[in-house]
Amino acid sequence: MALERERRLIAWLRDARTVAIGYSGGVDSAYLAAVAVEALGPDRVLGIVGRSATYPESQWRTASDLAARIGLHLLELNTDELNDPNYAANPANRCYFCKAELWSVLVPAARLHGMEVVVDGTNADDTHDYRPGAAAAREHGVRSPLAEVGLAKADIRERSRARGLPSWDQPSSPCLASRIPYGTAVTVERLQRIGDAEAALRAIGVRGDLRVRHHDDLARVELPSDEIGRWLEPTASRRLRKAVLDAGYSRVAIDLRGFRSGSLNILGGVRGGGE
Amino acid sequence: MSATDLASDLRTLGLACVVEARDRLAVLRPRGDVASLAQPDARAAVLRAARARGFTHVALELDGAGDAPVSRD
Repeated sequence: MALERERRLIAWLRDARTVAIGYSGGVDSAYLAAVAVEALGPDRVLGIVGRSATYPESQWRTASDLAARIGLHLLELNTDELNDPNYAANPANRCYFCKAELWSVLVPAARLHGMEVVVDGTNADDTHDYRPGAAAAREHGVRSPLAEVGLAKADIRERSRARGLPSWDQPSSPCLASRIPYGTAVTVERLQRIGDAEAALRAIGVRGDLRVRHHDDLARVELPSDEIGRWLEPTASRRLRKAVLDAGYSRVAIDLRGFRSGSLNILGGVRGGGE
Repeated sequence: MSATDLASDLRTLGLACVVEARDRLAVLRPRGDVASLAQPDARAAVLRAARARGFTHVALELDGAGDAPVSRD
């Protein structure tokens, strides 16, 4: 089934002729870029990265390394969503304002580079989640070929693995603002603290899906459920606590359920579970 | 949501802690041995108790005394 959907994706891309991809280096956009480069050739595909404080530096390194590996031409553009008060106030539809800023920069840049169709990495699963950013994509004429041909996350991981893409088992990596509860302002300082804490936890060996959820002075750490017991052991928990305190939090707690996509949507009473 | 009620429920599960309610997040501040929480079944029981009191999230604070919570007497 996944292979058949991939064939439909290749046909979709060939119909498009030239595509600019909103590229983050995550599982979905990396796969889409790899298939597009193969289907159209590298000169008919452009990956565009929107850079801001919400985009972790570590992810940028991964994204650029992967682009070089698959032959994707990259264009890096700065976006400025933090200066939009609608975004910074962090309402439940924050992602709409972020994506509106992103596409207002990326779509004209794509046209300037001669790309006819602008696409994103939204997959078939995403269409079932609360994703206010999707409205901004539609308003700017951005298409979602993975979703349109029915490729779900599991399909994308399967096909990425078959293609030898190192991203195949990469944890999902939504923007850092997704760690801040709705109604708490998104600031550069908070994003930096969250990013530093997550990087420190990776450095001490935390594997798999990880989120540092920001609750003012308290960092609530979500780990994969099968990792929680290990990090509650005395030596490990001391290391974990120190790593997060060093990033600037004054209190650290481990979530007892573990990682949940859209955890703060649930906490905030917002429908849907995705980030 | 009542932090006091949840703390009482958790005591019956053998878990001594102060519960701090932050909206629908319950932060557990251990006041005794919580070594059992390394086990998935024990965590599941805590989550059920919290859900019954209206909390959607439960987090165990790592204490500030330099000892990991699971090692405390």
